[in-house]
Amino acid sequence: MIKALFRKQFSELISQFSRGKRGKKSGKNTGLIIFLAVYALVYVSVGFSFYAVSKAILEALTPTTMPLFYLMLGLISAAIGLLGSVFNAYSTIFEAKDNEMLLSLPIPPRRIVFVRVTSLAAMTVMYEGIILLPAFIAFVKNASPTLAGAVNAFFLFIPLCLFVVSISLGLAFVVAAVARHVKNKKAVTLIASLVLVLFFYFLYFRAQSLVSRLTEMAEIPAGIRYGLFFFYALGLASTGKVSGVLIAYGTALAAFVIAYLLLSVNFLKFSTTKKNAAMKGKKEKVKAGSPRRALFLREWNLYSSSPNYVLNSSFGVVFILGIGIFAIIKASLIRDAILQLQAFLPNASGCAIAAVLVMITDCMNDITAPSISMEGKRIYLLRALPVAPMNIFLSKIALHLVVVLPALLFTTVAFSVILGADIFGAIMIPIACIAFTLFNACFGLCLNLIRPILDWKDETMAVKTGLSVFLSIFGTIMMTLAIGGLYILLAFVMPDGLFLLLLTLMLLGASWGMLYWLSTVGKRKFEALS
Amino acid sequence: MLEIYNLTKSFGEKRAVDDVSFTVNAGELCAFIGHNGAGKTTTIKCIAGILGFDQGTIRVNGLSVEDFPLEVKRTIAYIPDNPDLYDFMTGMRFLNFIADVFGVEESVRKERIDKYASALELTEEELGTPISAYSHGMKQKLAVISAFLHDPKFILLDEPFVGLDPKASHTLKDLMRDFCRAGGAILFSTHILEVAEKLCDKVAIIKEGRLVRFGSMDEVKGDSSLEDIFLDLEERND
Repeated sequence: MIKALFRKQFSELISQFSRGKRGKKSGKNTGLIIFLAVYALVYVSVGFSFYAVSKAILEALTPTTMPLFYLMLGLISAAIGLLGSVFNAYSTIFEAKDNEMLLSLPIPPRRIVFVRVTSLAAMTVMYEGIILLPAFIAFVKNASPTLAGAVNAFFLFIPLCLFVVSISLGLAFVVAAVARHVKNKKAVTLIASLVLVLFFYFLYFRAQSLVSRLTEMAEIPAGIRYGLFFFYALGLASTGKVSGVLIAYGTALAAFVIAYLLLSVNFLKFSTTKKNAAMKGKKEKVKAGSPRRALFLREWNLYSSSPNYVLNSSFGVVFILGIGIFAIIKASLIRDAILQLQAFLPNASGCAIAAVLVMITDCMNDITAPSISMEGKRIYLLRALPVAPMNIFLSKIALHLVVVLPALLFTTVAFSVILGADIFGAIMIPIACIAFTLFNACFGLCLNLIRPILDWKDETMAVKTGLSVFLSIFGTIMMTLAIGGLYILLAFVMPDGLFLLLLTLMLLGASWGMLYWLSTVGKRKFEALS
Repeated sequence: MLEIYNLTKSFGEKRAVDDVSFTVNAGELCAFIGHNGAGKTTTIKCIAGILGFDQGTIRVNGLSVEDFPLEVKRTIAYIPDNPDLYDFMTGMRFLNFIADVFGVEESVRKERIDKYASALELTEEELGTPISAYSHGMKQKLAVISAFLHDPKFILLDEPFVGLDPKASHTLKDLMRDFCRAGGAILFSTHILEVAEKLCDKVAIIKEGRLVRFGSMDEVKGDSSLEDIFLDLEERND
């Protein structure tokens, strides 16, 4: 029985990458091959940088402070892994569309939960691996660990994964428990997820700065050993200490068992609570508007009604705002950094670097990338209405811009003021970033039209694990890195303002090309969806 | 109103609709019957402009579905067999969305929503409730209201009585009759042959993608019942 459940769960996961043109499963594995190829590329490219970081940290540590290595890498890896599971735990477990069907079969609910949790764990391991694999290679090559230490270090992804999944499951339990007693469950999910992630990142950044200071110390203080005992235990395990292994595995396993039992016991109760069943409607007015407004409001309602969609596709907005606030608070620090930069790049005013920094965080906003998939089986409604596909595409792009641009304008204008650059350069920061956001919106939409997922069982399949989402985020990150590289080449011959103007023109040209594609090939692809 | 000539649609090797031709005139109510997988939904989706087809011509009100898709869609309404509506909207927001897309004036839409919601017994509170809280029947009622909202000329209904309570089914039959009396035309698929027999002027019977009978109800069934004819056709062709 459990085998059949596993087969179903993982065939769903894999089928997202082997779709036909109509967004339904096909026998071909082209999507899966593309996914694996791109994923391997991510591993190699990101892996190299983490290898370099790991090597630098290892060189700064002494044998006494060596446990700090896996303490630090564990924190980073947990942060990344949490992104992979925390936003999805609730919907994957409680909102899957086949829950009722599975519950009607003679399957104990705890097994359904277990299988769903393993798919969450698989995603977490995938994210964590990006950090842990290069870290392990650096550790073996540079730290000369004992055999026991190396074996322990290799398998540390297990307790880390259990720990991260436990946090996600705990959050899913809290959201499910609270949401049963409040009207606006979606708001609860959204706020709880945001608070947890921001709290985690707050701790993470504090711990990171603390630990970076610690690399210069001769001993690890008791505050760290006890305060971050789980991560410290990972470090101890990597030095071959049995106590570290026992604490790391024991803590992770205990956390996982508690979280799993909580969910298993309550699964039936939480997953069969009918959404909004007790909600009494209010009288609403008949109100007329234009078709374009109607299409945009439809997009807005679809987006804002799904915490999963909001959190997974627009988390970059939080980071963009964070950068803006950081820039305002640390304005003098930024100005000093630019002065130092000018020693190497005399033309640099900081405008281009600020714009690239904002663009990199903007890559995490991929609202259009799952927007076709999010229509799911309701796609027939749009197809049956007298609406030109291009108007639907424009409403999706407009939503992306409306969500991202306020935060983006705040941060770019903050940079423009703080950097005190020439007016042309200052004006070009927001303009270039707006052009990048338009490019990002068009790019995600094109990818999703090529690879939509319309027969998803839960929204996570559409908003997180779809190939278009992965390619959209990864593709734009690669592009911003290329932009950064281009800047370093051109910074010697042109001022920042001119570079940003050229970049803006290129981005607008590419966006125009994609809009043309949408109006021709994209239109035909949309008309083939049903 | 509806003219279909030599419609053919395949999914890979499988020919779902094979050289189907029939017409439905203004004022006519036509039942579309066939066993599961016979090609009813595929044909209906082709007419609604949701599914492309390989060969043939479909015209609604004289306009080709392929050449004038938006113009055709402005004159028709389509209700699928399982109305997956926007569960992120309330019923009223959904109706406002549909009316906005069709450009229905505020006063006119209010009048129509009141008329059809009251006929199908959907209260204002229910219309203000998120669709995610609706039962299957309530979704079906909402889909029916949305279909009549823009005063279409031709309505396509795929299994419209599934999920409706007896009273709502009765009301829907009345609405369908009134609509055709006023000059509209309806093509609807159903497995309830008694309903088709009592309600319809015409009937089209499809089997394995091919139209095996088409004509007025009297021509097709003669002195027998529609059920007898349907079962006889099924057995004969086997």
